[in-house]
Amino acid sequence: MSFGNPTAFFWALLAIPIVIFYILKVRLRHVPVSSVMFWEQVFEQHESRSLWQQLRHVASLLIQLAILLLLLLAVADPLRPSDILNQRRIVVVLDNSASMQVIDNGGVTRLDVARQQIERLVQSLRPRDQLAIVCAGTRPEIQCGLTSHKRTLLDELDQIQPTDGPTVVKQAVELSNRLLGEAENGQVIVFTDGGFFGAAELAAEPSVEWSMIGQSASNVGITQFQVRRSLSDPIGYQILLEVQNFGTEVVEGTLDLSLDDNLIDVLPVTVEPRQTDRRIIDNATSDGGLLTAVFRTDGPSKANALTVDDVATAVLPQRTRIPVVLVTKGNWFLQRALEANEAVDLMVTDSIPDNVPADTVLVFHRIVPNVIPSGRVFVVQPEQSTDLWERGPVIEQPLVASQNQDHALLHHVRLDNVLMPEAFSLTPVGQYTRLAESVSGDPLYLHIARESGDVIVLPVNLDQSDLPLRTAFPIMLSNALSWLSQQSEDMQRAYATGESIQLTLPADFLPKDSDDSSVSLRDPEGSMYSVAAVNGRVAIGPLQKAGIWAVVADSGNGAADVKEISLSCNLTNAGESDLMLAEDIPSRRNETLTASGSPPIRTYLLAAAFALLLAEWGLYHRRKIA
Amino acid sequence: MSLFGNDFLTKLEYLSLVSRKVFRGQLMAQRRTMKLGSGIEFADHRQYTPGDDFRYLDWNLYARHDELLLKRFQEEEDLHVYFLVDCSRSMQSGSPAKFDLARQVCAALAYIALANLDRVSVTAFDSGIQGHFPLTRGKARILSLMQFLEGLSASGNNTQLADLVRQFVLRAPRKGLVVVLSDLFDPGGFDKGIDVLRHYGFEPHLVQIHSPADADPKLLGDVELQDVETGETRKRTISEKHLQEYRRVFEAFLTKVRDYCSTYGIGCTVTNTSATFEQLVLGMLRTSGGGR
Repeated sequence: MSFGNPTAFFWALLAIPIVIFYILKVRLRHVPVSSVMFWEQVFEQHESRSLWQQLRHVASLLIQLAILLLLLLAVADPLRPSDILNQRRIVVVLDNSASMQVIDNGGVTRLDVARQQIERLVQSLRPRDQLAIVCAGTRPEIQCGLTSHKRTLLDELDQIQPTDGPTVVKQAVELSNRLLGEAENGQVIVFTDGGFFGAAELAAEPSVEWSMIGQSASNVGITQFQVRRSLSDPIGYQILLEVQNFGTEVVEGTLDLSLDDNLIDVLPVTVEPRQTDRRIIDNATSDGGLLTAVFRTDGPSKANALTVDDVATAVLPQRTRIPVVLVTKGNWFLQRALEANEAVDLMVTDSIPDNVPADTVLVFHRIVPNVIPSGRVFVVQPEQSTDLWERGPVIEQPLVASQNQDHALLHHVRLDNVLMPEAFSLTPVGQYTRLAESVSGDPLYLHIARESGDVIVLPVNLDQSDLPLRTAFPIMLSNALSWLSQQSEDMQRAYATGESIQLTLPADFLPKDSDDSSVSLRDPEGSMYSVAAVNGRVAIGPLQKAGIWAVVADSGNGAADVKEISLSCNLTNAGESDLMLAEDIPSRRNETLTASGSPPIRTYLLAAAFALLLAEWGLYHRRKIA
Repeated sequence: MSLFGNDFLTKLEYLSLVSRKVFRGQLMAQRRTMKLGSGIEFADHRQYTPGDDFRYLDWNLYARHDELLLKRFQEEEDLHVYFLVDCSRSMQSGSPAKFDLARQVCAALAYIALANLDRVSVTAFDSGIQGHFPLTRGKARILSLMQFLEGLSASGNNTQLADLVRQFVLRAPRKGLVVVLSDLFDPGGFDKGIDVLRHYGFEPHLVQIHSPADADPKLLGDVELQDVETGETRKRTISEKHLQEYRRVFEAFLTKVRDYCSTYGIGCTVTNTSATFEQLVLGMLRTSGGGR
């Protein structure tokens, strides 16, 4: 017979003190008496010491040694041959995706139901069996490696939390098969609600045992939520919102839009079964902050089983006011376009100011100095050459042939078919960036970078061109002002759970002379994680929780020096929000394998030791009171 | 010295007064004997033989009957009180020890006797005579007697009362009251020794002293009993039933002592060490009968 813990026989040395105590004990208690004559009379009638009384000390010694032997064997953990031959290696794949947060009949989440089933499986493990736990929510992850220690398995199982991400059962099963390797008696058991593409096919595979959790349920969720800059409002935002009804009944509700916890709009929503309500919301807000959309149903909660997809967020950049000085002899379109920008503090003058505050954007219209002053300058229709360019003749074909659409100055700007008569050519003196050019190759919109401040030039006659009449014109101005005032117009889009992100950090994000380790990632619950920034880029994800994440750079000099980039993360996954199964996938598990086997041998040994202990206890009391 | 405390003599004086005023003539004081001697009280006549003293001729009777007869007179004598104190090892048991109580009682009774002008002697014994305080008289001798008692030790082997008594009766100058202070745990039987005393005309009074542990031992389980006098050992497993039987046997022993004394009109006092010596002596004064 094999033993799981043969070193336990070392404790056989305990037999030595047992024998010593026995020898000491059989030495009877010595009692001096005045006379034994009375005792002799007593024991004339009663037998002094029967054979049993003489022998019962020996019997007690044998019982104590037998108890010690049984305990030793129990600790040594003897194994049946079948326990060794039929050792099982089981990998449990637990789906902890967003859909497992649904509470079906019973009042507990699907994740908890699966957890209970796995607990029973762990308790049924035989002494030599091993089990591992792999999570299949958002990303496949080994929660606990192969082990036979039940307490460890149960503790690790309790620590598994639901994620807001999609199901990755297939990848988890692949990981599980790699974990098992070529081991005999290996088995993969999947605990999932099946809410992923290809679930039925995976469940049908003979190598995989399947435990179906939950059932079809109705749900309504936000499957799309993105915000961009308004195409018509230079400072406003445009919201794309999509609500899907995955149930079998009409759902009525409201969409509550809030900006930094202040309600800004409530939109009624009615969605037919298996239909989508998609809408674009303009002019919802022009302020920066955290935009939150919450879908609330008017009907019973049974029509909306999953709640994590009822909330979506987006981060809107904060806008700061831009002081602008317009030097012009008068152009109604230009002035009105600047005044329409709510972020602009406009001052109009017809003479070139001598001094302006450092963060002021100078806009020259027609009037330009010979030397472009330091600072941020936007020049429209310069009438003369300057130190930065030479003015040339009127362009013969001033149609925009191409534009650098990727440049931030031309975001959301289309210059197709814009008439620019009397646009003139400019020959920049030094390096410049061509943003748009004519058929003849002349720059119609250019950017000159210089150390004393960037300069943007638009050599277009606003009075003759229809550019001011186009929606692109205020956007061009807004882009130019944001560029010159160093306000990034790049918005961080809303990410989906389960998505990995490659984020480029702004140039001034990291403190000077800092190392990459000073970057951290904060999750929606406030936990901080270190992330590595390499060459100004960080890799994040896959994101497991919906909410606002933040990349934080801390120079260690106090709260004022902490910089953050906020990232919104939403479920927005139709696959997870759709709780209606295309077909019922029955559970398929080999109950004979997981049925609890007979108790280990040490259970019987302990029971026998306990029985002998009771016998010894009885003998002890008999010696006292017999 | 713990055996005879500071107030011991005070207590002795009290006991002496009690014995004289309450129990006058009932125990010892001024006892009369039947011996004919030179007392003043006429007892009887006898024929005159040549050589007798003419002063004792009854001339009145000669005048009437012309017969020469001699008067005989009753003689008054002081009482001899003998104390036999058991000094065997068995007297060590108890708290206080039986031996201490026995010596205290011996001192108290001796004081009463001395106060009544009786003569007192003390013999300590185990298997033989261990010590002897010769006959003495007078209250002033009590201190010496107490010193003698203090110097005794209960270290003797065996209690053989019969052998001791045979030695005693041969040495005793005169008959008298013999107070035996012992636990009477004599394997040969206490009655044999007392029979010898009776046979030789002594008046025995038994004071049986035992300890609570002698009457009701608290023993259970496997024990090895050792007789403190003989050194004999007995290995026994004692149960509650055995204890009950022991108590019955011991009570039967005490009953035997009382019955023996009752049968032969011997004074008997049975006590355990929980009683004080003054309680014991007062009890003895109440219950003891006079002897002749």
